[in-house]
Amino acid sequence: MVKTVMIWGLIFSHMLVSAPTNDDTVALTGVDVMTLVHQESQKKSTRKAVVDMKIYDDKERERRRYFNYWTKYKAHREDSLIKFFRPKNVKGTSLLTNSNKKADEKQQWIYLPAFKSVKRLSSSDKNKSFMGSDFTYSDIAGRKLSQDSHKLIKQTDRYYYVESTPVDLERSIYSTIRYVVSKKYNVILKAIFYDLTGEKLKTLSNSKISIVNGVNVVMYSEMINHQTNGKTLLTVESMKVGLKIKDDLLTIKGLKTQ
Amino acid sequence: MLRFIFILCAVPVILFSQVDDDWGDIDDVELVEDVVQTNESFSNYWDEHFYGSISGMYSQGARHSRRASELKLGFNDHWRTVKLVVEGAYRQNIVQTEYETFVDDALDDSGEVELGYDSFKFRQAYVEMYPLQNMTFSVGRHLTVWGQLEVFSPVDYLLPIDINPMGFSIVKADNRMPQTTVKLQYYPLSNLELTGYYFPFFEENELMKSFDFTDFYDNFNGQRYYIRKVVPSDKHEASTAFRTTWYASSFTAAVTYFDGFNNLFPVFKEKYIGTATGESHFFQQEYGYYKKRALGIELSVPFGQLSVKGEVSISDDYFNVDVGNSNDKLEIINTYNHGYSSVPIYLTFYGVGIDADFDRWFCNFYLLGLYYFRNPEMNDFWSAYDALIQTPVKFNNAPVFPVLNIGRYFNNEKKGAYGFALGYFTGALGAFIYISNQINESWSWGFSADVAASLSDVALFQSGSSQDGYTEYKFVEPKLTFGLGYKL
Repeated sequence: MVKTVMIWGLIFSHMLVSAPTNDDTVALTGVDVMTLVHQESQKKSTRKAVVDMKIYDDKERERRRYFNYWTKYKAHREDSLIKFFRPKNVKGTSLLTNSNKKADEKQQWIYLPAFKSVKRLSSSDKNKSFMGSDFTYSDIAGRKLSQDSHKLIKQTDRYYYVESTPVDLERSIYSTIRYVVSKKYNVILKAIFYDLTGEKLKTLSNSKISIVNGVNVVMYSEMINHQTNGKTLLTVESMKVGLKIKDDLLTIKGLKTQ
Repeated sequence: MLRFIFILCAVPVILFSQVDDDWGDIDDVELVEDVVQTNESFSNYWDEHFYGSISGMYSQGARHSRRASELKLGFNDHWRTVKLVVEGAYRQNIVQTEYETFVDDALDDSGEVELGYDSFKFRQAYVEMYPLQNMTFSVGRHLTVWGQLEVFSPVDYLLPIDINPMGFSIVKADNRMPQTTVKLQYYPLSNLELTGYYFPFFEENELMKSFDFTDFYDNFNGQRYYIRKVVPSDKHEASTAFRTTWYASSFTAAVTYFDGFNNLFPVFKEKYIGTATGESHFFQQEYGYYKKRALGIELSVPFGQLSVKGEVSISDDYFNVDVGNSNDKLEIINTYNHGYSSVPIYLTFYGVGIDADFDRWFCNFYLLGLYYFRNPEMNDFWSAYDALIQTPVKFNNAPVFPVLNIGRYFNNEKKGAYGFALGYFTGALGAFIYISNQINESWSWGFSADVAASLSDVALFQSGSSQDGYTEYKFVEPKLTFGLGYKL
């Protein structure tokens, strides 16, 4: 199974022989906590969402984007497709993220309808803002769980506190990511990102959760950039979990034809 | 003792609380129960599946003005196994220009005239089906774009163009002529695309249709020989292409085989008819579209925010032998080339360069070149011809020429930009200074100053020519252009 940390949507993937349990009597590690989150998100292998993304700059000027989001998990791979349909100036722009256990990093492709062309995102592109938001393309792609070392800092009766540090700092734009995980829902409620100088960069807060087809999914996220004073709000307008998604939808073929 | 134990316990707590400070407050999470498995709204459906634009432009030069407009509407939807795409565009292009008419090279008339055209076309209208996993089959009118070089591509140049009168554009698809196409795509691997194209009809673009030399003629032995126009038809008008694209993790590569016609420009040929007593040899003039096979190879390698790219196409072309009064040359072309003085050769059209898109600026820079070489199928011809003229024939290879488009974004959102473009683009040749921006998500504007010749201008330029004289329109000149667009 792909060992992936997906920042938006907060989906964690990890292969374990024995699954951890959310039991206070058992001493969990940081990786165990992340695995719990992963297991929750992948109770069903597919989901499709319609997302409203509001982007605010430091002067509170608002821009909105709407997109469809499909994702599918399989034993050996994890793929997602984002296609914008509003506003008109970004309509049709699509982002494909492919991951398999053999690849060192996720592959990302962008389709620009005006050019009718598929462009692969380079490593440096992945650290750029995703469509003007406070998320990067790599946030959207997610991080492989093995890219970070995870340490359970503490826990309360309601939350786990996990600190993740990239194994290869040269390939990361974050020096540390701190997560607060809900014990009740096994979803991340907060993620704090630190830049390579150790300064606090961004904070992601997930404040609304819904149980869709038996899976706890985040319905509302807020990413605040402390360095630019910008913020991005993600509101899930509709969500389907466990629907049928053909494999080839989440490929170059789907990127060009969907 | 109790006090000592308390300190031991307190130390880690104090240390821990220091770490804790940065976690911040954790708000209570809200469980949303009313948002479950909902279907998309009508508003979202409309925005997702319908699109369109209204745009207009006005140009002013010293001796001409121009106004053009376009209304475009489109719809697409994707059901489980079928996708439907329909897009139509109405275009109008009107040029008010001064002109001079010459007869026998002497000025005969001058004044001002209005030239123009309007048209409605389905730019796209096709049905796409998915008969098997990883397979796509589509039929209808398609806009096909090839090539890795973003602004101008030698491989893309095998396909027909349809000049958009709305001004300078670096988007290849803007000037692509839609074609009736049967297309089959198969992905044996998720990143390997095999595409077969069948173009059942030869479709001449409006630009070239406006070229009409069929009233031109030459006299020979008291008989008029009008210039013939050759347009593929019936069983011989279909074209095919096969294209493989590999989207590898560190590069994109493509190979294209094309078996069609010289879609872009007509080829001019002449065939020996006879020799009048004491006069030079006489040739029947003809022009049009002939079989053309081509092989295209593309490579794009990204390095950070720029990509290094290279393309080459090798295709059929012709070299015109100057027969003159030579009976020996005449015998060679009659023996080895069916009487045609236009000899099949190969053209290599190559381009290397970069496409760069940084945070605040962008650059497309290519070096392009044309190189001709002999077609081995004509070896017998060349052996005889070389033996006759003693010195090897030199083809008119074009020296390497640049295409440059460089500019700067107004901000990180990359919505507005200003820049400079120089070279040959899909629809025009010249130098451009431009600036454009978005007023909001629907409205946008652009302004440019250019010294350029558009291919659509060339068509209009030629439209006044006849056997007896020619009209010189004055609109190929520096001009200022302002455009406004609204996305529906």
